[in-house]
Amino acid sequence: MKKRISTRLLGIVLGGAWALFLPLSGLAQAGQEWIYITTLPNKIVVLDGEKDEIVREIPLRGTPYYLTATRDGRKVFVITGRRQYIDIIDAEQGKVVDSITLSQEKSKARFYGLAASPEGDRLYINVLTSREELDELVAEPPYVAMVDLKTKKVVGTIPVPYGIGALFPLSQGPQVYAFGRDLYTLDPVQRKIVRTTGLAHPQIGGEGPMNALPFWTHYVKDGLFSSPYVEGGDPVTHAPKIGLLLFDTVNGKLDKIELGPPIPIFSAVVSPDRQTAYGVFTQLTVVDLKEKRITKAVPLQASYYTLDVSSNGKKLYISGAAPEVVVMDAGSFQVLKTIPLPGNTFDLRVIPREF
Amino acid sequence: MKHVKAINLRAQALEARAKGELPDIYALQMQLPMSCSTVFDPGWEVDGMFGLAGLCQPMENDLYGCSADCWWPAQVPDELVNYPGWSDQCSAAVRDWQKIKFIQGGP
Repeated sequence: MKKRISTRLLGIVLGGAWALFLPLSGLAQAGQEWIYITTLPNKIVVLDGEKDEIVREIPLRGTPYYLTATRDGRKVFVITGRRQYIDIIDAEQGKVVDSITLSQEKSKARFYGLAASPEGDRLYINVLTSREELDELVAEPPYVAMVDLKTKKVVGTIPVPYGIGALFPLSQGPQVYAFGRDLYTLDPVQRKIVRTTGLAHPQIGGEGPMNALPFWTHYVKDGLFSSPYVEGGDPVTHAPKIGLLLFDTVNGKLDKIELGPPIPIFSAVVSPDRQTAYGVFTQLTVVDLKEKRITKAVPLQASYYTLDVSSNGKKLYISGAAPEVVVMDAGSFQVLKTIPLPGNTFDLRVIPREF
Repeated sequence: MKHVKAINLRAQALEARAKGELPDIYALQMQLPMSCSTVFDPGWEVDGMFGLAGLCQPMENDLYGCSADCWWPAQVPDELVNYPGWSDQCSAAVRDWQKIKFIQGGP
């Protein structure tokens, strides 16, 4: 009898432990990264990077635009609410826990480009403000606001030109780069632009002006950030050419690769090993960064604004515009899965879970 | 016209701009051939190379990309300022475009 009770007790204890373990094991076995997709009308859809299944839908205050995260993926920031709000998501809880706005009753501050500091304690936001006067709207000079994430207060501003759509800090800081018509190096300590690298306004003789779209600027942590450009003003041939800008987020070095006559590339991302770049729009364009040439073009079933690559470089996640995300094998370029989403999408990011 | 005189700030600014005393306003994007995102041509009809390869496919996928940020305020409702939420009933345009709302009149 005593032995039977002991066995039963043991069974209860083990069963309880197993029941407790289940949700924890589910969490532990989940992907080491999540894929965040901003989706109409007002939510973020989260995929598990291991199973490529939807695991969460996070409601927001309005149409979501672009998003970024802290390096550990613990906090996710998304521009929403007619670009006047940044909703802050706690990745572990999977919900909005705070928000930031700089708008006031007679002054609408809209956000175009945001980045978290490497330490995760500060947010850099490019702000365009329009002020309501009695009979007109007055556009105020743009600036980058430095927001302390503990107090949600602006602790400093840096004046910048119009046209900036993306910000990104160096991995170790302190410089922040603003990507627009040109590439601007911002010094948060001196609170000013300390260097301008000419893109639309080339500083090297013989180079034509470059046009690049400073949105969907994704890159793996400590990796290369890439953006397609079109150079249309060759002084001799006048023939337009397309290429990729390559920016090293570790040392700040900017390079470019010329690819030839224009082909449809809307945005691009570089593999974690820095060997391959992938461009996307109506096709997936594969670029060998060592040989500096296009090695493959894979037709897609629709056009997509953006893509990102998994941390191990083995999978591509393609979305933006279409109400779906395409999961593609980065080796064979076979579509592994097409996941329908509730609405059209804007941005997609692979965000590591290091917490 | 010589008898017309600018009396408010906006008219004076227009006059100054016409005389070249103020820099002209120029578009954010330049006329370069890389899909509809970088040209101010009609966009949905032809791309910068007067072809179709640079256009979004199908067009419905790009609908909210054009409206949400006022890229094409003449063709689609300006969702950022005047018509927020006009597309809420039709989040996936390619699947349920019948639910798209019409907008009437000005803002």
